[in-house]
Amino acid sequence: MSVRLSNLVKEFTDPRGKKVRAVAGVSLEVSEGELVTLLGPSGCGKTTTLRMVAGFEEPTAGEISIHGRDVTREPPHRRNTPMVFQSYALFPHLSVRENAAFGLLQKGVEKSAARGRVDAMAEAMGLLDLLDRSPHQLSGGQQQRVALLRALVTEPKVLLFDEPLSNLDAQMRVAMREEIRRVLRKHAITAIYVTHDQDEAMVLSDRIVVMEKGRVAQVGAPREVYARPASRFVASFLGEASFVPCEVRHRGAGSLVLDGPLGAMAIADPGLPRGALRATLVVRPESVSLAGGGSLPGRVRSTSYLGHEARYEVAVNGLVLPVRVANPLVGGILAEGAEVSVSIEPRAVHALAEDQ
Amino acid sequence: MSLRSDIHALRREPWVALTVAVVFAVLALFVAYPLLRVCVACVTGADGGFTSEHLSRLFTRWHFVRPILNSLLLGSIVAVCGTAVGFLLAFAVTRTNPPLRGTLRRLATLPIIAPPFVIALSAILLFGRNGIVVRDLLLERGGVDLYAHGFDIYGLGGLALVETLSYFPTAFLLLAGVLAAIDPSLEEAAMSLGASRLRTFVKVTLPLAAPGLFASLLLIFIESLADFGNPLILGGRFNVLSVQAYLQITGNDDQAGGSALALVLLVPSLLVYALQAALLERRSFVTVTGKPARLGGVSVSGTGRAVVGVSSALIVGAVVLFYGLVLYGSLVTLWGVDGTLTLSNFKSAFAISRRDVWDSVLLAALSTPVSAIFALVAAYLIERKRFPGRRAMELLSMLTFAVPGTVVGIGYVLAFSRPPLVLTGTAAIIVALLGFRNAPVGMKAASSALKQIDKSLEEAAANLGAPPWRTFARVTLPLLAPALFSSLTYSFVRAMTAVSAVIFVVSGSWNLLTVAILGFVESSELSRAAALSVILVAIVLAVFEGMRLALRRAFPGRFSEV
Ligand SMILES: Nc1ncnc2c1ncn2[C@@H]1O[C@H](COP(=O)(O)OP(=O)(O)OP(=O)(O)O)[C@@H](O)[C@H]1O
Ligand SMILES: [Mg+2]
Repeated sequence: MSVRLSNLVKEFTDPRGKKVRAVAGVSLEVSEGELVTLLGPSGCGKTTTLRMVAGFEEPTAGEISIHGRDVTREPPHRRNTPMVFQSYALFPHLSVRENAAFGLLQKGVEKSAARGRVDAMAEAMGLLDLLDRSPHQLSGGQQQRVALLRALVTEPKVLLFDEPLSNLDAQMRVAMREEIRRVLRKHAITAIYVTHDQDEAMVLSDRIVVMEKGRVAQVGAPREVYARPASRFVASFLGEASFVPCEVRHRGAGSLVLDGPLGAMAIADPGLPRGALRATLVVRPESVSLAGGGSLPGRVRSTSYLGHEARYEVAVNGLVLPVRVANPLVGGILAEGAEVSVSIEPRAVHALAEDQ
Repeated sequence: MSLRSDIHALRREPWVALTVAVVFAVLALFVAYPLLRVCVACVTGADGGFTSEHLSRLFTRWHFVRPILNSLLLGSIVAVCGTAVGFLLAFAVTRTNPPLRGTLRRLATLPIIAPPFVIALSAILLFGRNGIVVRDLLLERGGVDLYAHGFDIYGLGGLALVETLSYFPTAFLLLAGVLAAIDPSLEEAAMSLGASRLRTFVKVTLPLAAPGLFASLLLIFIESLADFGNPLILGGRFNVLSVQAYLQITGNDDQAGGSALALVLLVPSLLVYALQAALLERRSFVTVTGKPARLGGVSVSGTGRAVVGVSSALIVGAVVLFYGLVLYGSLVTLWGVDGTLTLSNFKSAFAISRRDVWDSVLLAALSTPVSAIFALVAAYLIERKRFPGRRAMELLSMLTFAVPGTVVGIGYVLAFSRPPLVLTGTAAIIVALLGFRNAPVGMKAASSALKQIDKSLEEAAANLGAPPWRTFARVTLPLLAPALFSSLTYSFVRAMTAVSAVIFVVSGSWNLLTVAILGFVESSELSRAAALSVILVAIVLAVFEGMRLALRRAFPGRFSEV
């Protein structure tokens, strides 16, 4: 186990003396070479959790261990957990090369050896030409790659990222996240990555930790968190979802028949509590089909055409379902007011217990 | 832009051209002309012809060379000590999240609004022959006679102490700004890369603060050089430039010699001023990010926090002690002779100096609108209009701030004691001097406020059909008001506590409180001097706090502290 957080709590005192619980009991295990993202809305405690791992904040309660060693009270410089910041945090008074070599020199590596390692890593990342510049002569993307280089050459135990791509434009962000994934995989580096961008989390992560109000809402592989969200919060934070109240009609071995405004539907049992009589169906907009052959009559309330897909709001039996249709030019774009027949793919829906 | 298009722009707005002309005329008369007179006096012989005799005295006569060397020595010591103290406090406030941060900040800036020589007065009350430490504690209790061991508060040591305490706030304010602007992520990045706290400080924090430290050294050096009140009181036989220039003119009636000394004061100040103006235009190192600085992170260890905390407490304690002592001194019947407490000093001092108190308040109050109107007009022209000589107007109007008071005072004496314009002995000369000397404070405030007010607001008003003067009155002025009023308060305070320049232009009919206090000190009436100082500080504090509260109420949320 590379990093283990057990029951981490962090309280701040705000200027008026009130206690604010930024992190309220987070436990997490990160394995060797794994990339875990902390994902959640603003203010949910992602940064604070990450900063406790780095040693920038001291936990109010709980423990942090790295490679089996308890580091809860260790200062940051004894943890070997370099952080890549949103603001890049390149030292403006040092050249790019000096920035990159900073960590190695702190560790007592000889100047010439440090230079060799910086050059080798810079070459691999295609940054060799930038080494003699000063940070303010670099673009945002270049600065962030230098920050990554600076952290990587120290051969960190754990690499920490706090929204490293937020200051970049959309195209650069996509390119950089590919680069980060490639480099981390190549060097098999353990990383904790904070973001509030769900695409980023989906693309990068081995596992996603969804956080809500200082707690972990769900941990799992991207596919699992998206397809089988543990709560309404997770379902609506990752992608779009409608929640349809249903009654449990029948429970068989591993399967479930639900009945509600969308008709009766047999789905895989997500593990509802025993004897549950009611459940909430989680319907993603892309699992609703308007292509015909459905049994539910509906009416298109609004239409938006986005090129790669069309979005509709469809009224069905008193509900309003958002629907996405990919490649809309093939089937034709539906006009507002059009009557449609709606069908739902039972393999793509998920059910939550009533109170989840 | 090109001169031609500037002139063209002026043609379309004749009122701007007229105002520009008036502002330049005023600047020429009250800023440039007096300085020019100082320079001319240095090279004019008794026959009115050119001579280099006065300037050569600067290098050949011991009583000219000596003060120059003394001033340089004192200035260097104070620059280093003041910067160190200021940095320590700035570090405490920005990096360690100490308890009572607001109070610490206020106390640390107290010497800025207090009259400059109050600390020297306290130093005498503490370390003079009859001082509390020297006599009451050491001699009578401990049997140690410091003065027998060669100690003397009058001289270099005492002056260095007093000026350090007087001028460290400059460093504090400057460096607190610099340190607060350093992105804390930089220090965190260094630590997460394996640098210990000390190495992070040495390798990251210090280099990033270096330009600020350098600026602070220069500024304090200049402040020490220009200081007049403290060396006049505490110099003893350690003569410095400003005092020697004063003595040369008022004591030896040697205007040329005094002017030559003043010139030596002027040159380094102007160099620093020019350097600063040049540096401000260059990109600085400091990086500012949008995220609010996290206070009290881990960049300082527990021990470090304790060391910084205790030393800041000691420094602030010293400031409080030095000011508090003046209050105590004002209540002692006769310092060094009779220690019983009484209010009689206030009565007698007030009886003797009642007119000085009124004159001070009146003249300061009269000079404040002079500063304000001039500052507002000049700042508006500079920030919003295009005309030939804009940069010259900017430099010239900020100049009085950079020129040591002694030089300005000598300049005013030389310029206005003979035709065409004879003002010596009048209130007008004092009002003009105070008004133009303090205008730069208001100008800075008005300029930076104008920079923040988007031009589009004014354009929107004009677009809706408002004539220029109404746009200014209805849109620009109200937006400027908070910044302007707070700098006005500061101008008033500076006018009340000024001494180095006005001491040359006071007269029998118009005297000032500060000068009266110096008189009491010179005649060793310490208790009365203390009482008058307390009155002065009380007036200043009342105005300062009153204005602050009024501004808070008048412009809730928009008032920025000076
Ligand atoms: N130094 C601090 N003092 C007081 N409160 C703090 C401090 N740092 C964070 N908080 C509070 O703790 C909570 C969690 O903050 P945190 O920065 O961890 O959120 P985040 O999930 O990273 O959000 P974002 O996506 O906006 O960066 C917030 O309510 C924040 O206001
Ligand atoms: Mg954050």
